[in-house]
Amino acid sequence: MTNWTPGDIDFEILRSSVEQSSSPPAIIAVCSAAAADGKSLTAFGLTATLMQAGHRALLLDANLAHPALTAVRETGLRYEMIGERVFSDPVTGVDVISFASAGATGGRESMPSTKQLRVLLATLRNRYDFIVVDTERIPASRTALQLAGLSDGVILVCRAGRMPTDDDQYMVRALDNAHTRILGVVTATAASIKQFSTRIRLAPEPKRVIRESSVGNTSEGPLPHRVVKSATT
Amino acid sequence: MTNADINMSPEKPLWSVLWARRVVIAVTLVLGVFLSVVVLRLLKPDYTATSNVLLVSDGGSQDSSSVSSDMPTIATSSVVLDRVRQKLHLDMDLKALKKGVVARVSPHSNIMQISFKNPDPQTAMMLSNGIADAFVAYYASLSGRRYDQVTSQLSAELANAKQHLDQLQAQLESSAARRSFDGTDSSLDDITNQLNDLQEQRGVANASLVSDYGELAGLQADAADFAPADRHVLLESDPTFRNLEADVAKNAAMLASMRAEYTDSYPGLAGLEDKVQHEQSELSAQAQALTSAPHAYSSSALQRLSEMRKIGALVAGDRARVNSIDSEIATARQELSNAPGSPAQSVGALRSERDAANAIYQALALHLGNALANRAEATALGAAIVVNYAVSAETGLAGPRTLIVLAAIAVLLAAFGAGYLVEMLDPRLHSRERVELLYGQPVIATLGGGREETA
Repeated sequence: MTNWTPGDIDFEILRSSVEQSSSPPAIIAVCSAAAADGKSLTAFGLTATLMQAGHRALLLDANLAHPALTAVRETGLRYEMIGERVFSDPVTGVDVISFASAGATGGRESMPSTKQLRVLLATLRNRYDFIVVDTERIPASRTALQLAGLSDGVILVCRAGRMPTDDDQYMVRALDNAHTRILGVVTATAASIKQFSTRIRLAPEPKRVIRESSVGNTSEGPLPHRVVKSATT
Repeated sequence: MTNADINMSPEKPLWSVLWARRVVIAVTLVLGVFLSVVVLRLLKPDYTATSNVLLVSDGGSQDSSSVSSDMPTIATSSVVLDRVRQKLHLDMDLKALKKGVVARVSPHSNIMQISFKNPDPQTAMMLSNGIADAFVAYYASLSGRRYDQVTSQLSAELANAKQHLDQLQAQLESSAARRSFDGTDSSLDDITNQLNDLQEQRGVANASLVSDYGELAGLQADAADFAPADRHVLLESDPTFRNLEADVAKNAAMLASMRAEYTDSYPGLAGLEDKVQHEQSELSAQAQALTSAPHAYSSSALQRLSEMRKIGALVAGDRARVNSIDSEIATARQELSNAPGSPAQSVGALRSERDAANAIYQALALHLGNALANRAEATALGAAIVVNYAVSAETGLAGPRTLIVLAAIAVLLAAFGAGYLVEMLDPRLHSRERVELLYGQPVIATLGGGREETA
């Protein structure tokens, strides 16, 4: 059981939609055209709900612009990444892998290459039933589009009530050109996004840097679950 | 309100839309209430009071066709309205008075409604009743006036006949005193008797002539009085004239406006002046053509014309008869002057002449009596009677309570309409349909969509 339960019928509906699709996707990319549309909320809630349903689920935080899921500032805990890269969120209990580098939010140097991503996802696919990838907004990130292309299905997220923009059309065209499988659209209200941020209190800055070389090694060794080295700051 | 309040359910219920746009609705409600209060305070209703006048036609028949077209024109004429002004000592000018009054006769009815509209209900009632009274009095004077001339002329003739009769009576008494017996001369008496008979016939014929001539003069005066009303009815019923009149009025107003705005050097001014002059001459020509046409009479004017022709024929006949008798009298007098013993007249001849004068006097008195009877009949039958004075004035507006209820309903509808309109015109992604249309994909979940939340 996770520490944080979305406890919302909306996520159950979303999980049901994913599970009951014609060929259930193992790797699901959560994408949006605008910032603060509710990608993290959707990704986090979907992963937690899948875990609650007895699946082995992992959240891959690839949102370098807003790496909201990497650490919990309030707890003061530190996390080792792979070998030290997988950690369990102390609040939610959700398994998380983050590409965010320590100290510098949005640091692109910590993002693996496409080849490394393929290796990592292939490794993770063997160990998890579902891997939910929280991406950056597509018009601003080529990596997000790459991740969508490497995934088995894409969930589009849209904040209810915002103005439509050209980025929305751009995202749809780009995903179509990448031959991705779009599972559907999830809309999130601003209130639910805010509530999520308030409850999770996710700190953006992990203390340890993921080394490029260590990502490549992940296919070799076993991925430790919930490897947490506690340390108080 | 924030976007968080937008419900993403596929079919958004109306209450949800209204709740989402509650700020717009509230602002519209406040503005609507404010505007309603202002409008209701500024609204000054006009009150209309109506008096009913029964029109009695000359023959006493119920057919109003001969009077209905003229009576409203007479009731709203300057003569009647001026009498009202003088009687009620009004400060209101004639134009304003004319603007407020409306007189109409419904088809197949002898009741004419005289209405007056004014912001003050008491003034409306007073003027409606005053105009009805003035109309009735004026119409009564018009109805009896044709006989006034007959009676006055007959009275004058009667006075002359009386004087002549008195003179003959005096002569007769004087002759009888001078002569102890009546000397008779049969030839003189025959001529004198013939002359007296002729004098008697002339007197009767002259009485008829005077009576008929007086009636004719009265009819002519009536025709002159009703001519403006007839002309008005005639021109009003002609569409060509009315169109021309409207064009002239419009272009004249435009010309006045241009004259006020520009100098004489303005190039369009001369052309417009020429156009207005041309149209005015066309209007005059049309009016002339209408009024001079053989059929250009209203029904009541035709009735008067027919009566005038009939009386004119009677007058001509009377005059010819009088002239014929006059020539016979002249012949008899000539014979009398040539007869032996002339001009001395016997007492018998004088008595015969007195009897003839007396007959003339009686004939004139009979005609005068008839004329007075006719006048009384005309006054009674060709008259108008106020059958219903206005005792209240009504306004077309509803009462204040009804107005407030109507305004409240209108404001509520406007507020809800504004909220719904704003919702419909909002381009934001606040419905499932818009999201699906934008992405071309189905919405598979809505996070927080089942709740009404406030950020």
